[in-house]
Amino acid sequence: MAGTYDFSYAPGTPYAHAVELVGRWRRPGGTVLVDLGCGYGAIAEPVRALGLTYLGIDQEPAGVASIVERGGEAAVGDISDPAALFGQLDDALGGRPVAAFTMLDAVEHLPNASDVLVALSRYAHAAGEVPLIVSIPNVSHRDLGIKLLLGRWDVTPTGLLDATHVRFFSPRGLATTMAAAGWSEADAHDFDLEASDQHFPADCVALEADTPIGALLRTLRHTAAPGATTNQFVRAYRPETTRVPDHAPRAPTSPSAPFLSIIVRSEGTRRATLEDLVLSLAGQTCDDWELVLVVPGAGAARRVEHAVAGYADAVRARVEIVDAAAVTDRPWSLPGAANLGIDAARGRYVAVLDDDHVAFGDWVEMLRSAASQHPGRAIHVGVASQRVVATPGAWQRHPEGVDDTTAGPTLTPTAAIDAYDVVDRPRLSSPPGIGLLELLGAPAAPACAYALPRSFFSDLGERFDEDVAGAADWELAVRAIARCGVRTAGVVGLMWRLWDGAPQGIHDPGGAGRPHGMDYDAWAAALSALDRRPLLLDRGMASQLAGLAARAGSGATTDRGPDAIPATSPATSPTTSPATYQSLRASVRNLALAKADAEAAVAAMRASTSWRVTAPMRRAARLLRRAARLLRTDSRG
Amino acid sequence: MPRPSLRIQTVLYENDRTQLDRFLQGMAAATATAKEVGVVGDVVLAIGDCSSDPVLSEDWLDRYRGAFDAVTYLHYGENLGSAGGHNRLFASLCEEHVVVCNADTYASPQLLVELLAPFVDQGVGVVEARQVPLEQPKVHDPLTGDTSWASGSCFAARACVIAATGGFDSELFFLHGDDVDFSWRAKLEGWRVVHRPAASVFHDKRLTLSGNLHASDIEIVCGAEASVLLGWRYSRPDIAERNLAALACSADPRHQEALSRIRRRQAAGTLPEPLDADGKVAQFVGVDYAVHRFTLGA
Repeated sequence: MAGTYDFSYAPGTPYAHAVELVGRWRRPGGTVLVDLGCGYGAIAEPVRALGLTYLGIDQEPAGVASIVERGGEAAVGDISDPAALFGQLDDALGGRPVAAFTMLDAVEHLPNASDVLVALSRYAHAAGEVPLIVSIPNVSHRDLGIKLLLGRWDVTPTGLLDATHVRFFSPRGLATTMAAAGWSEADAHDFDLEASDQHFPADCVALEADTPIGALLRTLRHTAAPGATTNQFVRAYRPETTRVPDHAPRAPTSPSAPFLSIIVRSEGTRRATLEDLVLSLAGQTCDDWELVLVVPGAGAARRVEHAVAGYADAVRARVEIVDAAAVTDRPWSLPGAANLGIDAARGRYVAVLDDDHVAFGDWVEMLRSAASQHPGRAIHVGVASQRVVATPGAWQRHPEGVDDTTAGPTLTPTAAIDAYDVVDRPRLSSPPGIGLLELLGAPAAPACAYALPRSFFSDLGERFDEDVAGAADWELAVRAIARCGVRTAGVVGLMWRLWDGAPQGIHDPGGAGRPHGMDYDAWAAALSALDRRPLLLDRGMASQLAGLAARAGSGATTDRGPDAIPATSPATSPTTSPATYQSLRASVRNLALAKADAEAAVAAMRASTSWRVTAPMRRAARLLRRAARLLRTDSRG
Repeated sequence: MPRPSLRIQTVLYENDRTQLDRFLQGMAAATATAKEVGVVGDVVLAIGDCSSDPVLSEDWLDRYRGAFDAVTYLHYGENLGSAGGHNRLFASLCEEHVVVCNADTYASPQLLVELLAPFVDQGVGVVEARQVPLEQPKVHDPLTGDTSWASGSCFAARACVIAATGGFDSELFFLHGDDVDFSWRAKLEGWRVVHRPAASVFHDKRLTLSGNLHASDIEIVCGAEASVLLGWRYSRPDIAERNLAALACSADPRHQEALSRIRRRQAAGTLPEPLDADGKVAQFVGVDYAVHRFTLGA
């Protein structure tokens, strides 16, 4: 049966991956590899080349005969009977020490695979922690997922949907099944195929990478979970003495999970505004929230603990502090901190804030109301901004209220703490109802305006992109709205501070004079990241795009926009240095962004109902001012 | 040295119990902090209810009796307004300090500690909290905290200031302007009124979709009425007449309602006696009662 061997085993195949794992994980002192469900013993020869005795067990005599014919050792046996497994193995081994078990293309054929794996785990444990190497088809391969969306489930004689398969495994399903059976994963050497045997029909537009629908589906599958192109899971496991319960519930399904997880990134250095934020959450009309404070280290954790100390138990119980340094080796970054917060969040929705934001009283209530009407969509609230100046040490505080990380207890009646002073009225910086197109045109719009369904992260696998520093929040908001759509809660829910004479908050150290400090380079990087994958357009956007295109077309001859400026200095401008040219180009770009922001804000304001409704009030106010001026004139006269 | 006693008092009008639960939860925690720090002795909670039917029951209040040394609840059976409701409670004030607070607030844990701290200065009679998320726009001295007036949303006062002033002028002010008037009369008695930024309190004020401060109809009516009455009371008839004329020019029915109220008062001869003839305490800056850092449009 040399032909069978030649056909089945070759470098780069799942069998070769499995043999590599055998070589890595074989038990020291073991001499026999037991191949359960061995078929024709495809790995018999390479296993012998490792210096091990190959022992195949299968219920098909033809395969067993082939192995024996090729000089190997094999026995006919039914591995699907867990009760008989111990006896079969003992008989076949005859006391020889086992180096490893393999089950290659076998598990998916067993109706009672879990029971067999449990029995084998016990045997492997008793035999001296013998590893198990498996090769199992992945039914969550991208090709199968896309075709299932198209209503196709093409059973074939061999391959991913082999007609004889009775169990089907995804990455999560495999992990759950193996853990429940008492196996702990030690290694993975999966076999990937960009195009599996299920990649047909050949001209299916949904399967092609270059079509928008194909690219969208590929992106969705790749982002959501591992294993998009894994054809075979080739894994090594160690027997565990403690079994994990099968079908363990996912954390987010806990009935005590709140509606909203509020993730706040804080370095713990802005105590006054952080305290205001926590206070504004405690005062919410709806207490269906939790607060996840993500900080860069133990020192910051101690500082932010002061912001939540002293609150009622009902409030403190809803606060979790995540010390980034304790859970990751990656350097502190704002998108990274947001991702850690997402990992810790339990709510149905998440909102990511910074420690200089503050909430209005009905923020959570209105978010929850809107989310109940539009489940799964991102929910937008209006965001106001207010200019403040930092006034270090300006506020006096009772010494008992001052922690040793700021000023330290004193014997004087008061101690100075960090502070700020409000210097301008609140101004609406993100009117309620901003959608995908508006957000794309207004990169300075605060991303905190959007509460996002946590499913966007937990089910679609989306994360803040740590490679687009300075614009990660905006880039994620665009991605989220494109995936989830957006509805407005119809209120002004949040306010953030614009710091005079200081960087625009920890989220945008670059400053550059724009709200949230996004400069051209950050915006360009974020756009580039967005361009790498297709955007999904919500219902009704064809009309919006048509209007936008018409307006762009009408102005094309007079205002070509900053994109028309060449990326490099034209040869006809030899007097301008490259550096100056790029600086000027960036300035033009930023001016164009500011102009677009201003136009969007004016348009939104003029379109708002309140603007129209309050028109008579404004007229009355003008009359009042005129009357007052007249009275003043009379009294002087 | 005995620790000073404190009363926390609020006046209700058709509030819902969820809101009160939140308010009392915050005050209970702030009380615990103040006791832990050692700045207060007995802390008494007093609630006056102007609602048509009682909002609370004694049973419901049981859950908070352990948080305060005493809890009293009075259902007035009539709407006395904020000023009248507080005055009714002031009548039984026997603690050394009183915190006057709206029920739509949430106390920071340090609120009471910080509100009481400035009373170390024997000249300070009234201490105003800083409101979150929307600060009062009026200025205060960054070093001394001195300010023109203290918002009735949340302030602390010495009991002797209440006694000397008689509390709010509930005959003149129903809902708005009572705190400005109270502050200025306290100043006329020689007391300082200070703002304490570290004494933060959440006050559920919101912005409209156009970014202005949301104000109810009754707040606009009472605010407009107060703008005239304060002018008369503090010897600025020019201000009163100016504002009266402005109201007369307005087609806004709320301004017309304020105008009607003032006309009725004029006809009844119940205009206030002028105070502060030398202009020592009252500040009229445009339409405001203090210099403002910014405007909060309504």
